[in-house]
Amino acid sequence: MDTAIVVEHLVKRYRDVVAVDGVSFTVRRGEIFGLLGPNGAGKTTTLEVLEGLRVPDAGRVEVAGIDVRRHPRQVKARIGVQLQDAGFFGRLTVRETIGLFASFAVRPRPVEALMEELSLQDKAGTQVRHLSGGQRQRLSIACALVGDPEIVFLDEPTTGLDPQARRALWDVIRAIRAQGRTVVLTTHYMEEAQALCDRVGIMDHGRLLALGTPMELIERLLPEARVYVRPTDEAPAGAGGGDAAPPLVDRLRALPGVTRVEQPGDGHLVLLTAQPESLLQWLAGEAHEGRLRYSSLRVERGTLEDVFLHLTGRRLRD
Amino acid sequence: MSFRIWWRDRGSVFWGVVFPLLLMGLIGSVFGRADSLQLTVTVVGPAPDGAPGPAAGVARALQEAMRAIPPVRLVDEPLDRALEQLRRGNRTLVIEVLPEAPPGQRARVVAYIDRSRLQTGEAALAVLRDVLARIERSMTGVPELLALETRAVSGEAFSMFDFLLPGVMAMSIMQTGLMDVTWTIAEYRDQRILKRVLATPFHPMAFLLGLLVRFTLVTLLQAVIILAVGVLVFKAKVVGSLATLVGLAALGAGVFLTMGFAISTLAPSAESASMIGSVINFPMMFLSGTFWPKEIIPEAMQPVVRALPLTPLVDSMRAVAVEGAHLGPYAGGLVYLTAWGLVALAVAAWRFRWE
Repeated sequence: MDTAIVVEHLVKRYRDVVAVDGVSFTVRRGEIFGLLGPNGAGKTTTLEVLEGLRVPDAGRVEVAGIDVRRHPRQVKARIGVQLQDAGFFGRLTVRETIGLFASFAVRPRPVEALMEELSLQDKAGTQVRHLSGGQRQRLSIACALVGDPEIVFLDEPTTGLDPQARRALWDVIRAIRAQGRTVVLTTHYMEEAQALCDRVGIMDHGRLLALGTPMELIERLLPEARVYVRPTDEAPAGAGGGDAAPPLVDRLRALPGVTRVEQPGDGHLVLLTAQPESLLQWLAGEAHEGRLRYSSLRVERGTLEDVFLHLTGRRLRD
Repeated sequence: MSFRIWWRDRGSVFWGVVFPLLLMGLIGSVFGRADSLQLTVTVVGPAPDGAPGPAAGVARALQEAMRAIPPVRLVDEPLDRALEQLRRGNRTLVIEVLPEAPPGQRARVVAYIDRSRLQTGEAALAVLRDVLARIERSMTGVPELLALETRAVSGEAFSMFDFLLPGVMAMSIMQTGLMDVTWTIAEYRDQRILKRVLATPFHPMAFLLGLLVRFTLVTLLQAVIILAVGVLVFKAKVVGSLATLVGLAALGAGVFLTMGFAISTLAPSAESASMIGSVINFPMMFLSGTFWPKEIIPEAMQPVVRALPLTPLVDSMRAVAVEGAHLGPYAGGLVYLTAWGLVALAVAAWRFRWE
């Protein structure tokens, strides 16, 4: 069986607010699956239903082949959970804390090995309240891993961390996947999802808007490439014959495949095109003929940020 | 693990053990000395010596009789100075034997006492009356017809610390329940520690039960430390059975920590939880007879005193510690205390939230 999680038509309401509105997806065994979306999109609620912490109002949720509604305790024995900014017993040390959570586990892993895995061995004797944000987050993940789980849920694991600590945590999460565990995480950082996740689901207002690998989503939803070109001058004298050539922008607009030409005002032109190859060919030809010179040329595919913008008409706010 | 959490939290060690002991030491040494109820007495005669007459004789006889009574410390000084000292609280009783009255009239003795310390003053007056009666008899030659013999019931003298120790133990138990437990549970909820535990395969009820056991043990440990320090350092005497005393402490711990638990479920945040805890805690601390006999609390307040759940705990613990009493007469109060615990348990079970 290579399916770790099945979610079908999940609905969860809080009084009259619909937090999760008919969400369906599956998570494959051994992948890093990311739920992506702004705050309040319903990511955490979805996760908490999967973790057996909330009872859904409708829908089917199966984790590790077990129906979560019917057997939440059995599910809890197979998963590891890191909750969004959950605290610790501040006066216990790192070693004692992992030991305590090991005592809650059905088949605990050795504490020392876990501390090494998460680079916490130097802090083993430190009381938890003296840890930095990154160290607390690693401790939190250590507690999620102490029960040797098949599936690990990480709710906003990198929120509030500086870029360096965030990248260090990405390595930790990839190492968890390398151990053969499935990772489900939430994030509102698009670049994090793009760099870390095998597949992502984009959520907004309780609905799942898109699902797939980051590349798939970008290719499917953003078929156009962005070509950044910075011309030095338009047409060198005498090259175009006697008659005045039309302005470069108009010539670019007339090219097949080019849907839009933007002028951000910094000397760049941004061209959106579904056929970047022919555009590049044309640009190269013009330069070869001496009709056009440019100082830089860059081709980019969109980002997940653009996908979100495309889907919702809004930017993700951090 | 839980003892480490307790020990590392200097605050709870302070409030649970050091603070009650400090209070006991302070109150005991300031208001104490109940064991040697000291009466400082000045007897002022009619004239500076010489002039032998009936009045001077009475003064001398009074001085001698007073000197013979163990708790009385006799000070020889002029009247104005004695009254000044009385006003300052350094004398219990000042006796002035007035100069000769016309023959055939009674010799007049004036006793000055400090109205702000009526209790010791009254005690001193009682001594004085007794002494005067004896002097009168010896002067008039009427034989003593009745002999009063006093026998101490408990062989040992009663000290202020004997009285304070059970009260302070009960206070510490209540304090841990209403302050510590309340804050801790609410804090665990606010910090989502409870939720974190809920996400593990560990049985959530077992965790809550473990918390209760932890607090009960911590409370009992604190009570035992206070008991040990009270007996060893403050020389308090415990007459009754230690096992009964610890049993009562355990019952009190159960009730008050359930109350703390209930309060934490009613309060929206850890801060408000500990506020509510203190608001309930402090009046009880002073109105339940922990530091002084509850009888001295004004009559109007007595219904409140009787309604407080700490009162039966203090009463029964004190009865066991000081008099070695059986719990029989206190059963009603203990049932009342337990009822509080059950109500709190119901509230806690009804209102408890993991997050």
